[in-house]
Order: sequence, then structure tokens, then C-alpha cells
Amino acid sequence: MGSNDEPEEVPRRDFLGMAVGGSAAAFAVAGGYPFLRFVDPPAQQPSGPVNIGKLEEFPVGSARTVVVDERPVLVIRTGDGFRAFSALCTHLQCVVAYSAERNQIECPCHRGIYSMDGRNIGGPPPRPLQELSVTVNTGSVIVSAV
Amino acid sequence: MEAMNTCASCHATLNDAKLRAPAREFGGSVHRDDRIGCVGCHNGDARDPTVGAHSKAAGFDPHPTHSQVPVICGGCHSDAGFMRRINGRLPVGQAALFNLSLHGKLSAAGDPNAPDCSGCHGKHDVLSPTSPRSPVNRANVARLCSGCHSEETRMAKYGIRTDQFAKWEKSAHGVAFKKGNPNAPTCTGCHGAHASAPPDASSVAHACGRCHEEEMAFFEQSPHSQGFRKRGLAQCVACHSNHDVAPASAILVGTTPDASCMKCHSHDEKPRKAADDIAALLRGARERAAEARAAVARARDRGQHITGAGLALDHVATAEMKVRGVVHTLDPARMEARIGEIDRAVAETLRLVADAERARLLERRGYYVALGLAGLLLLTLTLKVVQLDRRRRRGGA
Repeated sequence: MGSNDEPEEVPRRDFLGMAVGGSAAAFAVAGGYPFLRFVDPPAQQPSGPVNIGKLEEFPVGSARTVVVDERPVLVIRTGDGFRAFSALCTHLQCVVAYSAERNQIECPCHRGIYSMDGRNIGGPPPRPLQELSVTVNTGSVIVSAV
Repeated sequence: MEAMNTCASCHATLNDAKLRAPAREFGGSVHRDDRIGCVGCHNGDARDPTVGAHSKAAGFDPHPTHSQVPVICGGCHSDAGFMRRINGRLPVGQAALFNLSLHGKLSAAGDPNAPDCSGCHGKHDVLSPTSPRSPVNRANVARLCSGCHSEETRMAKYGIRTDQFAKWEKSAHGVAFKKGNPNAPTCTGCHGAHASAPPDASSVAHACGRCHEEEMAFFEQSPHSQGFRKRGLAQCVACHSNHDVAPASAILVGTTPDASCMKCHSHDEKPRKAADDIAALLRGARERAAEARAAVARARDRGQHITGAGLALDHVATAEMKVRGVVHTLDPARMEARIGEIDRAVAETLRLVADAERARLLERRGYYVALGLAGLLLLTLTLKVVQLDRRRRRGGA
């Protein structure tokens, strides 16, 4: 039993050979990785729900434009909760803004007006703003496409 | 009730193709409703299955005259009660509007060149304007107008040009229309439909202002507004032209030979300076915005994904759009305020690109260092193996 329990010694030369082989493989992988990345198309951005911040960062009556799936999204916190809409005007794609004073969404370019449910109610916009869904999960505000 | 309308069933069996066609066309038209029938326009007695249906006593009229057509159509289309029963979505003022139009006045005077209702909507084959096959459908109406207005012999009598359609097709409006922009105007967008009339010099801004509301408001605050009125110049058209309206561009302003300002101010010192100042402001803003777009495009070409760069460029585009409106005031101070918005958006875009570039360089340096260390380790180990191998060979000898 005694001699069988002793660990088998690895000759120093073999150990160095393994170390050289391992290092060479690591070097080849590190050197080749950028080339693989170059030929591989870039990964798509995530299209799932996006955490846009903590609830306390959005006081009632405030609005913020955030980026969700590479698209600007206007997130408004009203007394009734959150509403989120595509922030691009359906007329000529200017970035719209929330007017707390008039409680409506306005386009600064051609006086387009949207109601608080995204309907085009004034000016040239031909269509309503696309709405996104907003949920609050353990204190975080999450935006996702409806 | 359908059985009572014997006109269509009889005409459909006639040998003469000219007499058969109306029955076939009517079958596909919006007027095929049995409450209208052939007698709705031609009168007669549709209950009589013989040629007796063509009863003069019943007012049968096979060929209503040019000036009678609007009266016949208006008989139903001006009757609010009747129209509500047939199609509640249709307005009832078309005949009154047509009578106000130049087309209507010429038609009433018996001018054979002027269109009556059937000239645009068709005769027996009238379709709903929402039908893509209808000549008055939005997709087809420009070609319909051009059918008469591009005909030189027909227009010569009125001294009207015939190149409007060709110019419109190439214009900013025509190009946007072809791309499917629902806001792009065709002929009726500016001239109206039933009450069509060419806007004159003093009213053209209001035709343009139906869509370009802000530009019109700014124009009316400018010194041009008063000056154009005094000289009878056609407001927007003086700079932008009409049917061949070009895309809004900074090159409209300035003192280059093709700039609109030079049409009137080529020899006026003060306006020339103002034009130069405004052109310089616009040129600078345009170049800075282009620089921001190019910086983002270069970053994308390098494979970089910059969060927020798209939004920043949207802000640049929004600020540029706002400058386009305020140019009409000719007030450099008001323009500078809006150009400041472009500059802030450009600065934000460039900051995002610069941050991303710094992060990329840091990442790349880290990679090179790691690669160098791995290479050094490999070299050291290889040298050690070679050294051990030599020692072994020497020991063996």
C-alpha cells in the first residue's frame, strides 16, 4: 500500500514541456481572438427589458429620455404611475419632450402635440407615439417594448 | 328593388360594346346601390323592361351636358339627409365648393376644357377615393391633374404652364411623396380639391403654412413679410420656388450666385452682409453637425457601440430642424440661440465618442500588455527547455 499511495513524480522536463505547450496555446488563443472577433458579426444589443434606474431617481411630474434598444424613449412619472413612449416625433423624428406645465408631450420642431397617452392631438404628427411598458421591480424602473 | 333596375340587365346584353360598357362599369362603381341606379343620373323609368324605359316623359337624358353634370351629382351629394343614408362619411359641400373653383366657373360657362365631376371621378365607373384604382386616390391624383395640365394645346388658351407635374415629381415634395411620406403634398395639398384655385402672391404663405406652420409664423415676423407684400412678391415662392421646391438647404442663403438672396439683393450692401452672416452661421452649424455624425460613423466602423450616441445625434437633428424655422426671421441673434442648441448636442456627441475611444484604447493597451506577458512567459519556458535539453545531452555524452 505504502509505495502505491505516494504521488507519482512528474519529471521536470515533462512539466516544462506541458508549461510550454500550455503557454503556446494561451498565446495562440490570445493572439487569434481579435481576428475571430473581427470576422464574427457584432452581437445584437439586448432587446429585453432594460433597467433605467431606481424609483427615487424619478420624482412624480418628472420625465427623462433614456435609450432602450438603441431607441430614445421618453419616460414620464405621473401621479398615476409611469408612461413610456418612443421619444421620436412621428412627423420628422425630432426628439419630443414632456411639458409638466401643460401636461402634454410636445415636439419642439413643428409644434406637434401628443396627449399623455401618446395620441397625436395637435400639429403635424400623423400618428401616435409608440408606447412601451414600464414596471417597477424591487425599486428598479424597467422599460420594455409592449 | 334591384330587379326594378332593368337598365343594367338590358344594356349588359346589347351587341353594341359602347352601350354594354356602362352596364359593366356601373356594376363595379360606388353608385351600384339600388337606391341610386342608372336613373339617379339619367332619369327614365327603370321599371320598364323595354326601350320604353327611355321615356322622355320620365325625363330620360342619355347625355347630360358638361354644365349639367355638377348639378346632377350635386343633387344627391348636396342632400345631407340622403348622403347620411347612403354614406355618412362623405361631406356634402363638394358641389358648392366646385362652383367656387376656377374649374367650376369655367365648367358652368360651358368651357369644354374645364373638368366637371366626371372629369376627375369618372362616369359610370366612379370608385371610392380610398380605392387605389380611383383616379382621385391620393396616389393617383397628381397624374390625374397632369392629364390636362401637362397638355400644351389644352392649356395654351389659358396661358398656363404645362411643366408643373414634371417639376413636382423632382421636387422635395414629389420625392417625399414617392417615398410614401403621408405628409407630402400632391396637387390637391396646396391647390385644394373641389375648390381648387391657384394661391396668389398674397396667399401662398398660407397654403405653405398649412404644413410649414412655424416657418410661416417666423416669416411673418421678418422684414421680408412687409417688403414682399409691398412689392407683390409671392412670399415663400420667391426663395423656394413652387412646383419644383427644393429641399430646405443652407445654400439657399448667402451671396453665391445660386443663393436665393441674390435674386433680389445682388447689389444691396446691407442685405448682402446679412445674407453672408446668416450663411456663415448656418455653414458653421452644418459643418459641426456633420463632424459629429462622421465621428459616430467612424466609431461604428471600428466596431464600437456607443450607448447614447444615437440619442445625441437625434438631438443634433432636432436642433438643426429648429434652426431651419428660425432662419425665416432673418434675425442672427435668434438664430444664434438655436445654433447654440446644435453646438451643445454636437459637444455631447463628441464627448461620448471621445469617452468610448479612451475606453477602447485602454482596453487595447491592456490586451497588448497581457499578450506581451504571455509571449515573455512562453519565451522563458522555451529557453529553459532548450537549456535543460542541452544539459541532458552533455550529461549523456
